Amino acid sequence: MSATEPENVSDLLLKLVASVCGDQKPEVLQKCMRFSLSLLSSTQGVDPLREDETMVANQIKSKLSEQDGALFDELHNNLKDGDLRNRLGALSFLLRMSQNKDKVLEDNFTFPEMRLGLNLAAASTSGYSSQTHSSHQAQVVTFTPSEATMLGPSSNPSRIFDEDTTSENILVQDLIYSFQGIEGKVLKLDTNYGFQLDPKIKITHPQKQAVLRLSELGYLYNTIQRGLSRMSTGSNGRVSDSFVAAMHQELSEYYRFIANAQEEVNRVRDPSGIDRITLSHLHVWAYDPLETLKWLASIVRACIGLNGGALASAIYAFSHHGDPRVKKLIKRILESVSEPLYNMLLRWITDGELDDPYKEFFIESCAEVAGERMWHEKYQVRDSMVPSFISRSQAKKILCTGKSINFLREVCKDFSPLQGHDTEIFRDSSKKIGVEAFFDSDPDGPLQMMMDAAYKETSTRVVEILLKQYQLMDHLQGIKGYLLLGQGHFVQHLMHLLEPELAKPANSLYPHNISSILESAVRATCTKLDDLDVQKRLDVRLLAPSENETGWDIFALDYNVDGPIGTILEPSRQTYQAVFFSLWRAKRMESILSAIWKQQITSAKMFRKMPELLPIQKYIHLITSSMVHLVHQMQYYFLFEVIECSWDIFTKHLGQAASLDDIISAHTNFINSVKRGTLLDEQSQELMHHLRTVYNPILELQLLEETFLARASAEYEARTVSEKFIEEGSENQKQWGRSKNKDSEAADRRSAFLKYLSTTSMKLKLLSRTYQDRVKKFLLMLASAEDVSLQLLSVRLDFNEYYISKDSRLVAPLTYQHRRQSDQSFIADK
Amino acid sequence: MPCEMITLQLGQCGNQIGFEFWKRLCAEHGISPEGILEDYATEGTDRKDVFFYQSDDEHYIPRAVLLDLEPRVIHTIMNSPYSKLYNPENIYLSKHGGGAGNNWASGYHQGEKLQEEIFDILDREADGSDSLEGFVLCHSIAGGTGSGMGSFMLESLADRFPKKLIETYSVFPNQDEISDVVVQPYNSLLTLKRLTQCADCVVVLDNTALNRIATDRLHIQNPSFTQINKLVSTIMSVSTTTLRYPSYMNNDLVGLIAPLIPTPRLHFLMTGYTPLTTDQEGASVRKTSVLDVMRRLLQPKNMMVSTAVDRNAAHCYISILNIIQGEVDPTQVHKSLQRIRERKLAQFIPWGPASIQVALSRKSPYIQSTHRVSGLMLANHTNISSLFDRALQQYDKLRKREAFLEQFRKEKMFEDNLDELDNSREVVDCLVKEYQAATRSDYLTWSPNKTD
Repeated sequence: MSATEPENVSDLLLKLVASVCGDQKPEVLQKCMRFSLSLLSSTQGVDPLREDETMVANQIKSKLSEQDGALFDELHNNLKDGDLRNRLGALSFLLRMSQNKDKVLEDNFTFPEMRLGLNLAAASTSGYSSQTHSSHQAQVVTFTPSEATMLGPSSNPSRIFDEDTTSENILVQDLIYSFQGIEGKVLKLDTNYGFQLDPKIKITHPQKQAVLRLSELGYLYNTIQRGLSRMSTGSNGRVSDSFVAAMHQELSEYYRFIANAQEEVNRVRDPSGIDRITLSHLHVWAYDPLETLKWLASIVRACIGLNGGALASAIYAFSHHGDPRVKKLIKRILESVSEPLYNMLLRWITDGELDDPYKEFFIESCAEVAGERMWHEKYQVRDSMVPSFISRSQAKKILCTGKSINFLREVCKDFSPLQGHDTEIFRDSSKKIGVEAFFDSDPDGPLQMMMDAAYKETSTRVVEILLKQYQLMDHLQGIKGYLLLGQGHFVQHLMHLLEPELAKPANSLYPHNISSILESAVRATCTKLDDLDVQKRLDVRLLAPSENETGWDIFALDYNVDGPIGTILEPSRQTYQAVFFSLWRAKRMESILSAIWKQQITSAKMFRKMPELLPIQKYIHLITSSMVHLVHQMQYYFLFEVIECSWDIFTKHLGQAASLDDIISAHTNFINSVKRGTLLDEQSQELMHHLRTVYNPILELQLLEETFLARASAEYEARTVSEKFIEEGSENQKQWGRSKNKDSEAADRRSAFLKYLSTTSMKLKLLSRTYQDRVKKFLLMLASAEDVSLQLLSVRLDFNEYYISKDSRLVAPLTYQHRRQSDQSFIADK
Repeated sequence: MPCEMITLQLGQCGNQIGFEFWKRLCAEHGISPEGILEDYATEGTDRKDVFFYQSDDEHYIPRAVLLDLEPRVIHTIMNSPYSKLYNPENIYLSKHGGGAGNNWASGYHQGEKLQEEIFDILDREADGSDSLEGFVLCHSIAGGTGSGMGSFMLESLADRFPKKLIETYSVFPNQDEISDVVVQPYNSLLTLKRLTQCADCVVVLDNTALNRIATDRLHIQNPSFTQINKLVSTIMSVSTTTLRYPSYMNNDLVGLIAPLIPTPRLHFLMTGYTPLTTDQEGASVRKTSVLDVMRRLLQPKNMMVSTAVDRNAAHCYISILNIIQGEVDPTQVHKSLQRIRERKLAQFIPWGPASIQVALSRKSPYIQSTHRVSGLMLANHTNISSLFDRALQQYDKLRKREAFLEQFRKEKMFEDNLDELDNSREVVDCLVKEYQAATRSDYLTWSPNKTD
């Protein structure tokens, strides 16, 4: 600092003081002068809203004439060349002095209220500040400048300046020490790292209060320091490192304050006594640092033990403060804290890379997972680390964005860079958008837009690859066609070919035999050549056989999936198999009944000459037709009303799917509704079980019908042979073709056959009764089911009220009263 | 490939409807009149092999056998653009070409004489298929060739292929106009006996109803054979659609007709189709929904069988199968069925479970249709017996007067006596009785020998 400058300033100041105070005694003038100087040299106590130098200069210029303005510019430039430190202060001081009194009154020229703080009683600052760090007490009370100017010498200066105590210097020095967290002569650290006055010291009560209040700074400083040092020991990660750094940055202002105060103390350490630094000085100066420290301390307290996203959340919790100063403070800290997170985020959504050695990011990966499970399990949102300024849905989107990129790379083996207009947008903007956009929860903000764009692009890309490159639809169609029996003719043919194999005991089946049969069935029924991939994936699955089981009980079709398609389909494999199993069983019943029907219809022509067969034939016909009815209706329900309807919804959702997750959830819904509809879910277990017992008589009928056909054909053969014999005999040898022997043989045979017919007819009656009873019970179960579609199925199965007319119990569930009750319970369930 | 069907076209009428049927199938499958697959149809997922097979040069050839005793209709076919479609070896024309003279007995005996040659063709066709499911016979029951030779073919097919199904599309004569074939009642009755005993499924195409539909519903003043045959070919093609466009169910003939036919003799099916339009009248497009279609199918005016209202018997449906084509939401089907049941639009048998069964089927992508939804009903209704009853009455009228029997007596079967006529009458009468019995709940215990 050059020798002339301060002189100039002090000269100017002297003039100013003289002109403001008017004619006064020189000592008073000097006192005022010193006060003014100390005010000027300190950064405290002035306008808390930091003003910009050029802004102030502009304001001044606007008040000046053009010529004066030019002159001011020149002077201002000169000032800049010199090394006056507090140019801004000087300029704004000048500005304010030029303003008239009314204007000044309105202006927010603030002075800290000193008396207010002094009147508060507090024995221990540590206890005190812990109560007062809440925001509203920390408000700055404006002190009108008129009063401030009057406060100087004219009113009652003795209240400020004429404190007479020998220990005040020591107190001031101790306080400055305590500001740095160091014990002094009279201020001692207490157990809470606050400061207590040495009880032996005798000072006035107001002084004691003032000291204790000021020593709060020290306590706060200690708290912050201890917190920060705890956080910086060990590797807590980048976020907490940035946090510590940011806090130190904030503290540097505080250090400057301490240094200034100390300097001031040193400078006026002359014994004159009149311009020494008093507690009140400190009070004025310490006002702002105290506020800042209170905030910093609160932040540190809130953040201790946290790291990563959680730390950012904790800081973000402070950011909605009304005080712009606090807001700015928090923003600064938040900015540096979020920086590492933001960088991780950018890398994640642009490259899908997780650069997170300290587990701070809100997305975690599990390295062991690969293949089909990758999409489902590899990456997860780490809930504790989601910053509170990121909503759950956003976090999910972010997770999906990076996951999709990784999915494309790892599972789809698609290494082509993401292209297109969207990419350009977000690559550019990622440089432009600052970190503050990260916690700026503006839904239309550029970062949001960029993240949305990234999300949209990667998701569409995944969907596109799945649909085009991996032919998702073909596979789904394949599954629907083969596993859900959509290709009825294939299933029929396969069943026809497998029949002899599957009739064998389960443990004598060879998978390769079955596979080759499957292959030939596929070959015989395929209509399109480009289905090849789908057909290759079709496979046979034989369940573990247990005793007394036939091939029918263990055979199931399977569909091999891998890669990206597997991600969607693999989790449902078991369900598909179960559904196939149940549909296959129904289909088998249909095929058995078709065979019985065909045999009966065609053999009826042959047996026209044997009228004694007629009642049994008719019985078989009628039982068969009622079974055909049930089986067809059940199949229709399963295939069209369950599968086809669910499929309809599924394809609709697929068309709208914007991401793999959409596809997966659409598929899950589909498979669940199929499972529910085909009576394979938990609630329908009993129904399914009963349906199986309904099917049993069909198998019995098959046996009965086959033996009947064999016996009847044998009888028919025998009769034609004997007739022929008679004819030939009588024609050729001119003698009777009958002999006693043959006659009695024929009679025996005939009576045995008639006996067989009567037992068969008995068996049929029994079978028919069992079957009808089971159907009725099944209908009753359906009708009393809670699911409305099952109730309606019951109606459909008995469309012409044949069973109702036979069993009055069935009427009850269909009455209005009952229906309404069950409707209500259905609604309640919903 | 399993479940092939071999089509036999017999006589003038049989060949005409057969011709329309193949025309229609070709259009639906995208096969050109020469039998070559059109470029736009190469990606199809339909099953052409049920009705066609492929020759060595990739031509699609119908599994059809064309038989006639006079050359007129077959010559028309051979001069049409479709002449190259058929396998020429499968076209059999009687050498003297004199026809059967509208005489059942003549047709029957000519069939008997020609059987070796005909069965050579049939055996060859049967051997050419992997697993033949059955035969489709197209004929009329009133004329000479279709009825007489058709009857002989029915008997022989049932005898030679006992395990195969025989489905017929049988055209019943128009009752509204006076036929120039005076012996029509005899012909009909004799054929009806074979249809009852030898066929497994008879789709009744009643000319009376077809003509009425053409005049009343389609507003054609004097419907031509071609126009009527278009209707017939529509019915034939839609009724086989589930075989040709496989889906979950009803993919073979058994699967299609087993739910319809509970006992062997009750196998005469009525048909109904909606919406009915002609080529000229494409403009009047109605809104078609599933419920609309299903309800209209139950209306008698859309039935292709004219049945007299019999007040004495409570006639009812034995079974119904609706084949619905087009953009159908399966949930709508369910609602429609519910509605039909609530309003009791259809009366069913009391002796067993029965309902309207629905088969949802794909439509050919190559044929544009103005309708969203169309439907064919195949129904087994007891009232079809009134048709047979009418045939009996007309027969009785002639028989009482012993009219026009000379031509019959010339043939071997009737040389000695007319037992065959009496026997046929008995069979048909018994059929009528069985249908009547089927309206009652004690049908189970009914037997043809019991008089009631």
